[in-house]
Amino acid sequence: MNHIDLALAARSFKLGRALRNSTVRHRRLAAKPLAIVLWQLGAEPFSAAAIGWGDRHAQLEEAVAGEPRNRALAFATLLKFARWFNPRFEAHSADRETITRGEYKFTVARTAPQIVVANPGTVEFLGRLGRRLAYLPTEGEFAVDPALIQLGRHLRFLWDRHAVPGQQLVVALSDLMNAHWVTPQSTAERNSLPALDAFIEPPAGVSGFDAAAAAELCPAGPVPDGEDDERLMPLVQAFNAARNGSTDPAVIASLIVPIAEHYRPLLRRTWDLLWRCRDREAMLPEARSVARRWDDDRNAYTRHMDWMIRNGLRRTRQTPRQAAMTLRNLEEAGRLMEAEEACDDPLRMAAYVLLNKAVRGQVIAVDPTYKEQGPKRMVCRPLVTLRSPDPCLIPVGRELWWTGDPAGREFVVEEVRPSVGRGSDVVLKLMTSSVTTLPSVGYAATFSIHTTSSVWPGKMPETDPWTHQAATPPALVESLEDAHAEN
Amino acid sequence: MSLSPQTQDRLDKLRGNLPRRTPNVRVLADFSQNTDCSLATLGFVAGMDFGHLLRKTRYQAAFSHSPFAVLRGNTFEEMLREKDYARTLTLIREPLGLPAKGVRVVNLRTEFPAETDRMARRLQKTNDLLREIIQGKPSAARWIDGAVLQGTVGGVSAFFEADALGAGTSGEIRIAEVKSFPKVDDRVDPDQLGSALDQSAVYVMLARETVAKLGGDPMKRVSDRVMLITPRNVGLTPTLSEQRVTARIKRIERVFAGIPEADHVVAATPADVSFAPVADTKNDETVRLKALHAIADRVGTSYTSGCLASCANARFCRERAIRAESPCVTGTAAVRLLPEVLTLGRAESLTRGAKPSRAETPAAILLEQAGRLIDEAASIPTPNTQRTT
Repeated sequence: MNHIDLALAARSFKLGRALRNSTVRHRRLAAKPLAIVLWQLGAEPFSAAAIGWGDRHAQLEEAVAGEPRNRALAFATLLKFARWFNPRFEAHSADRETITRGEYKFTVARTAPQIVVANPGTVEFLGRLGRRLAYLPTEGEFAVDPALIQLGRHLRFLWDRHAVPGQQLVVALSDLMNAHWVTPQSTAERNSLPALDAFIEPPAGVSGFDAAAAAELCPAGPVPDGEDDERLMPLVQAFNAARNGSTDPAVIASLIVPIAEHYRPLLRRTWDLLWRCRDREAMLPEARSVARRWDDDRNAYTRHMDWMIRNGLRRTRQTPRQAAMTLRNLEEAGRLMEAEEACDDPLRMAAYVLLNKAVRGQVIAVDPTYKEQGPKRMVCRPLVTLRSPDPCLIPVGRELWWTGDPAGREFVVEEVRPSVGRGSDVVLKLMTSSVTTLPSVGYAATFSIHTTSSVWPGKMPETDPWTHQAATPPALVESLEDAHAEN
Repeated sequence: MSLSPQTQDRLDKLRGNLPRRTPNVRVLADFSQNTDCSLATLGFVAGMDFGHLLRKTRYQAAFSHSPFAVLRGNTFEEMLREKDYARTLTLIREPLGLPAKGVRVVNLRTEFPAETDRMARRLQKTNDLLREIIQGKPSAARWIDGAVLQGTVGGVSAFFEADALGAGTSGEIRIAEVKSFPKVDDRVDPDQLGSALDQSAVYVMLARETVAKLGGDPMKRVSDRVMLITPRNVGLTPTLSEQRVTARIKRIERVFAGIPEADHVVAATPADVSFAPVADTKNDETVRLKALHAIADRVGTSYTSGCLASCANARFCRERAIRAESPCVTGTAAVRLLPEVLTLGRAESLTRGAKPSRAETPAAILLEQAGRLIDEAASIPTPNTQRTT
């Protein structure tokens, strides 16, 4: 928590409603996302009890397993979902653009699918389902429909991708809203989508706190409320007694009705909440750098689809080398996202101004022809003087980037002198003489530590150092199915 | 150790007509998060189940367990007992160094039918079995299902039921915990693992106390490497994992030492305080809540956002904290950033430039600037550029 969020939380407390901590939306929301709602049984983390899906609010399709602990019934439910999901997820891969990088040419899908879910808990659940399905056999006694395996591998990719900061292929709405709204609620309360939504848009005349206290009792899944499972228990027992071990769809169809009735309002509740939240966020204008991150997403999606043709399997445990690379990439993605969000959004930048990691003010002088002695001859080093209304505590010599060109060259703080009132005049020197753009006199400008140009990651050693050598090689990935257990 | 009759009587009055809740590891783990709170301490010492206290009011806690989870746990435990513990023995044979045949297993859960002194008798039996192990008798039990250990909580002795105790042929005693959450790709859910290991650490500590009383060397006899039996992958096939819990034992010892003595708590509590009118569901909700507010006012509470996960009274205390505009509603980070600013309402006026008191000044400077930056951010024009020549 920083002081900007704290000040917003205090104001939001007074108001009884949430406040935005961003002036724009920092994630893309696709026009036709693939929305998914999931419910599990308590303590059955690898089987979906009920699935709801669709690509618009008005069209919710449902599938209920009845007895999700039974493999045949659980897989039959997932298969219904896979038949809808797979073609829609894969379709984007067909339409490609060719990109040339020097002598190297490759194709990237023009569009990518977007999956929308209520919360990160649902993404984790999708990842677990993916883990279960992706490695199933297609031959032998326990062979399953290839569509299930296909689904598993897609879900595994999406779960992996979800760890990347700023990615937009999987949008967990509670994360999206937490990144854009401030409430005086605690972190645990804010992670509950119903409670957060209630604080953002409480019913007329009700304070955010009262609305959230009522809403938090109705979870959005996938882990059910204990009382809901209490009501479900006798239905499942009756279902199991009536089907008498049968998993034949013809037998199940009529018996499953009470269980489907049980899940219908639960699926509907989360479904409506999910779309209400998504549509509310979609109304805001999109930030400038979202497009750059969407290109990254398209790239990742294209690589996954190309890999699917060859095999599509991923390790469940990385080698030390992979882990080091992954961590580095995640950190770089996080840094870039923070920089882009701050440069796109003055409200985000405010937190850095407060921390003396950025300075903002009015440009009072620009000297584009200023020259100083270089290593051999005189070089041009344009100067910009900024009048900050607050005292500037940034030390001389610190490198800063102009938010108007965060991917460009750095400015160095040349001089900080007291100005009118409590403010400071800050002289910044651009460290290049090549043609570039500069802020104009009389306009507001911000210089911060954030740059969106990437840094060379450094070279990995040829052989892993002994500190990073695993004692035992990672085990081969195996199917999670247990031949004996069957209910 | 037991309580004085006066204290006992007072505690009974505090609880009203409700049965005493005996502290088990879970209750203890929850309470260890709230030891700063006088109300939680009073409830814990009195054996008051806060889950009952606010039942049928709007502050009723949302902690309910899925019956499917309970069923899964029971099914898994039963499976481990099948065929004279065949599956269990396969798992523990190697780590305990047990022979292929002739391993004595004792099930204390079924040995003593429901009687009033059942737990005391199980404790006695556990102690007898442990003595045999320490003495190195060849016929000693190697697996005690449902062993009962004794601990002292706030000056009152209590029974703790361990899932199982294992004993190696070398006489080493190992704590085993049976959990039904799955282990996949050599990993289990870190939160669930953490609480399982915390529970095991309690049993290691208590087993060491018992061994010391029986004349054995506690550190040498009782291993801090606990065994965790969980299903593997999506089925219920059991698998064994082992982990050392040295650091957790240290923490648990501090938690036990930090629980105040019941006598002291009772002495510090006003004589007419009782939870009875609050817990009585026949009373009107307003009456019940008013009674609890009165107790909370006199005893004192200490709400933090973490309470919501561990205390059944948390939603009630949260409401009080909101009415008091306390920054603890938002979390400890907010409290830290607001030194000497007592309410969120006050923080709000400081963001709008209200004149701070001397004590408030450090926080107020930043709040004022933050407020100004927020108002400014709404009105920043897009940057204009010019080309250098």
